[in-house]
Amino acid sequence: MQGPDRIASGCPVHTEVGAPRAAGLLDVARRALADHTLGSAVLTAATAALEQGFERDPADPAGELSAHLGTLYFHQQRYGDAVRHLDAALAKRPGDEAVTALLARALRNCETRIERATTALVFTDPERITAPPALYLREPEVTAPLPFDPENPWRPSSWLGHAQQTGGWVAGVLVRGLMRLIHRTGMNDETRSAWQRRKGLFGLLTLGAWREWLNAHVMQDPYLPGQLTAFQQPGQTRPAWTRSMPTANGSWRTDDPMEGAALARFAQQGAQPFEQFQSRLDDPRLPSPREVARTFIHRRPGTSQTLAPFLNKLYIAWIQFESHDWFSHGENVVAGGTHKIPLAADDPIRRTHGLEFLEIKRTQPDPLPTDGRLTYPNEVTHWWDGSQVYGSDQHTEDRLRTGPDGRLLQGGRLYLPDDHLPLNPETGADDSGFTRNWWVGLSMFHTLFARHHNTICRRLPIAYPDHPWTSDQLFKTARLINAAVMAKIHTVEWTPAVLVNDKVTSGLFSNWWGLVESKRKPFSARQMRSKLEVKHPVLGGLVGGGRDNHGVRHQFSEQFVSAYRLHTGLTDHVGIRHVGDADARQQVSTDATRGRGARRIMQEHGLANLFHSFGLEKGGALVHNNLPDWAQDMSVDGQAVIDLATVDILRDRERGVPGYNPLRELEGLPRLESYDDLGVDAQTKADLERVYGPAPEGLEIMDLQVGMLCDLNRPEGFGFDDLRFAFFLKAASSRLDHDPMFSENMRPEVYTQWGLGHIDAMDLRQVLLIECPELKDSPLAARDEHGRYLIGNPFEPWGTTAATHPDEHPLTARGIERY
Amino acid sequence: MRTPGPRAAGLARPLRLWHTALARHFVVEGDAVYADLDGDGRITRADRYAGDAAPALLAAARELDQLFDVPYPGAKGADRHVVSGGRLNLREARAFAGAAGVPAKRSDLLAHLDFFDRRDGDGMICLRENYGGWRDLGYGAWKALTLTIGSAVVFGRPGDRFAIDVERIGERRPRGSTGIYGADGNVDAARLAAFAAAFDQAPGDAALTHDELRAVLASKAALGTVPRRQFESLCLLTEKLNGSKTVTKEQFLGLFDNSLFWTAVSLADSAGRRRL
Repeated sequence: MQGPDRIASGCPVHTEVGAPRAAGLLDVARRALADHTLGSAVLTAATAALEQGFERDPADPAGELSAHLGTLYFHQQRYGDAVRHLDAALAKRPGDEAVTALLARALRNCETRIERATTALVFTDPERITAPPALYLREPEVTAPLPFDPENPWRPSSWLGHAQQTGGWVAGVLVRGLMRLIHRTGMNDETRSAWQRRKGLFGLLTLGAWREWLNAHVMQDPYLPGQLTAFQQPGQTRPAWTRSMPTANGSWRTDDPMEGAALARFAQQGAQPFEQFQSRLDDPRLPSPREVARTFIHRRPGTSQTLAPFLNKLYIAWIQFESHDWFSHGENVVAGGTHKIPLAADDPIRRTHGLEFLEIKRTQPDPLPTDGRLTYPNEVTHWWDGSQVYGSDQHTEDRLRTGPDGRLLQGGRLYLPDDHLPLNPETGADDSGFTRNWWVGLSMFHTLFARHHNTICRRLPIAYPDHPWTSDQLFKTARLINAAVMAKIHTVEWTPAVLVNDKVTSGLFSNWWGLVESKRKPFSARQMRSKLEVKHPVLGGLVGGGRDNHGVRHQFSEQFVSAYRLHTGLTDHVGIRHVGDADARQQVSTDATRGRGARRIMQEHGLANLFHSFGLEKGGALVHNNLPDWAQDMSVDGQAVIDLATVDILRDRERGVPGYNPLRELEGLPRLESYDDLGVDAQTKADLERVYGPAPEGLEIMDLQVGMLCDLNRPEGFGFDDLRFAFFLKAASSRLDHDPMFSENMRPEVYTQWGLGHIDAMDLRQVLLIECPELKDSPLAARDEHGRYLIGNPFEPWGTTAATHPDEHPLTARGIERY
Repeated sequence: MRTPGPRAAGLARPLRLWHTALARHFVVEGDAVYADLDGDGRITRADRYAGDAAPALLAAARELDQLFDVPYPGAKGADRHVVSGGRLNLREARAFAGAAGVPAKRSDLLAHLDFFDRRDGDGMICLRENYGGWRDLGYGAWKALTLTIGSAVVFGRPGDRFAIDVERIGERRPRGSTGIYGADGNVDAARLAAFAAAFDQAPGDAALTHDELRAVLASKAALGTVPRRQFESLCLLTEKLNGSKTVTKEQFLGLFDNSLFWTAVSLADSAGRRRL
């Protein structure tokens, strides 16, 4: 250990260490914590001083030195050492609540090994962005095109095809005329969109007109006009196989080599030029993000978490699982300076840890910036291609297919030892396509869909026994089918569960099946294509239709990322119930399920029991002041203390996302005129006026996250506000109709006829029952005397039914969906 | 790892390469690399290069051939030191096979014209290639026809059925040009930089409106009718690309480094398809 007399000159503790008195040393520790910044050596130096002081005076009768040493080690992410000292401190000061709490946290961090990243740290390589993507792809080995029966029901006879086309053309003229009428009538009321008020078809058409307006106005391309995506060189040869198979990094999904690929930039969403989306970090009018977080996102003292009345915990795990398919800003960085947020005198983090400011790493900047434009690359593919399961680069895809002998597995399979995710030797954590922010909820869905991939790989050769399948062809085809199953579940199950509204649900079903099919048949009987299909995006569905990006290349927006900050949906605990259990046998802190805790819990309880547990318990409501306690002061790899809510506020400001009210206008919604328009209680209104200032000025600077959580005047049945819905509305259709694999390539030549039938047959319940047959004894599989499932939507609580608890099963109870 | 392209079997025609680190021009044909070994400014089959860079140049040539539909001048593969100089056209290939060889450096103006000589690569831009080039760039049938007729009349010869002989383009160059292409057909870097500097004054994304571009051109050169019409066709093209009457610095420079035309035909439409 380095002695205090050998501490480098210039260190802030240098003058103190000569006086090894306990009081002086404690002051050293306090000052070190106050001055601590990421990457600095101040904590190490102070720890050395205290360790030496401790050696000289090991008695430490009041346990103060131990407590401070424990705290210092905690902030260096040396949680084992922290436990040792905090334990010793607690023995001498048994009633100390702060030490007890920190010790518990350090112990938990030891269990989860939270200081170790769950993913290999990779920073964006500019060379990788601009080099021809074919350089980084491996051509799949294929010996014959996919089996294709020209007489299949997906290929209607020519007269029928013509009839469908003609019907689509007529419908198109009709719908266009109606949309024009709606635009003339007006799409908005005073403070809300008119589709909410308008009934039936009129309301649905108004919703459609808004989507049309969004398609035409809001997506701002991060690249300059006339530039290929990611500054790619023009004239590249498109590898022929990419026309029918997904690439590992999402490149060559279209003729623009890097459109939608990993490392392509995020767009900005809002009807104003890209250059006007600028960082708001230096806006002097804005209150401290920490103050905002404490006032509007953290739970109020003495309150318990509000649970979503009609959603189980699977809803929040699912959306995190899905969002990792769509976006990630990658590894945050210290280089270039961190964000330092001063902590108020009464701030709990100041009191608990002795910190004077909260430090948050910067978003990794775009390595190839454009003057005047605030841009960030997406670490994962922008496509709905299951990249969270398969990875966003060739290396990861191949690694996940590689067995213990170091060779690619046969049969197109993913490596799943004992049907569970393999251990990544580099990180010591579960291995999958995307493993940031890992917790058991993610582990469950990653395992489920990795298993389902292997199931598809087993079934395809059974469906086509004479086809000369290669492992690569099986893998690629199974990936397409599996990704489409995920997309279907999200479109027709998750989103309707969260937005229980007949017009929105009709729109979502229309996206997948088309309005005609979804109105004609009950949920389980619907098909993507049928003989009565009309070739029109609304009547016949986006899936299987023509590709249309509405004039802007495919990319998700920063605002879309913001809309998925749904952390209040997480809960404090998870009650573990095995299938058949009436009561929880164990309450596990959600914090303890993070990092490597996920693997331990999975091994202890098994996948089926965890799904059963998540299905029975409700998730958190997406409202203000509802963040679980553990997320307000939590540890992540690389940092002992962060506050998820503060990060949420800060990231929007950093990435150029406007505030709630200006963004409403940019999305075609009316601005709010006063805080009363939010429908909040008197305390929240007073808090808004105190933190942001009185309306209208205060309302103009209110952060997006605060507005989205505080706006309680929501459309009927909605789990969140109408602005968040605007981002969903745009993305729900664009991630389908922008993607050739969901539009023009959704055909038997690409998916196989069996694959298309499989997508039609699957929903979350079916996938769960196939991959976790133990769930046949859970309420999810229970049926009534007519053979109908008692639980309609698997994201609704499994412990009750629509008959007994209609408020918990509104889709069925209100007749919005026919299961 | 990389994906073999459809032409993995070998190079279609000899390919010119420029090695930026060595500051040297090469021609690759089959498994052989050639350079101007005797310093006469020309490369012939007698100038077989066996230096240290030969394997890298061979690999780069094959890679460029696979990565690009046409390894147009300026294209780069994994080795960023090696830049394509374009394939020799048929006439050049014949000269290369003979004793005279080809100039070590092909002029920038000839490289600029390669885009229009894609159909047969014979060094002559026939009317069909001329019209097809404009159509590929997104011009409507009528506009493409007028541009074809205009360029054929100015640059073509009646004896060649108004085809444009790329090697003799210098003889037909009109007066009153910007001077960016020098008398030898190569880009005058200083002159180009002087024009490009105007873009740096523009706010935002370094774009000039078409009127501003016209003013810049007028301020720096007394343009004749033909050069002015040529820049009007640039305006038409960039209006299509940008959706506004603007031209970016990148596009202006792309006119001279050969990327503009290739970019125009490589951009995907709403259905995800490109014209190339």
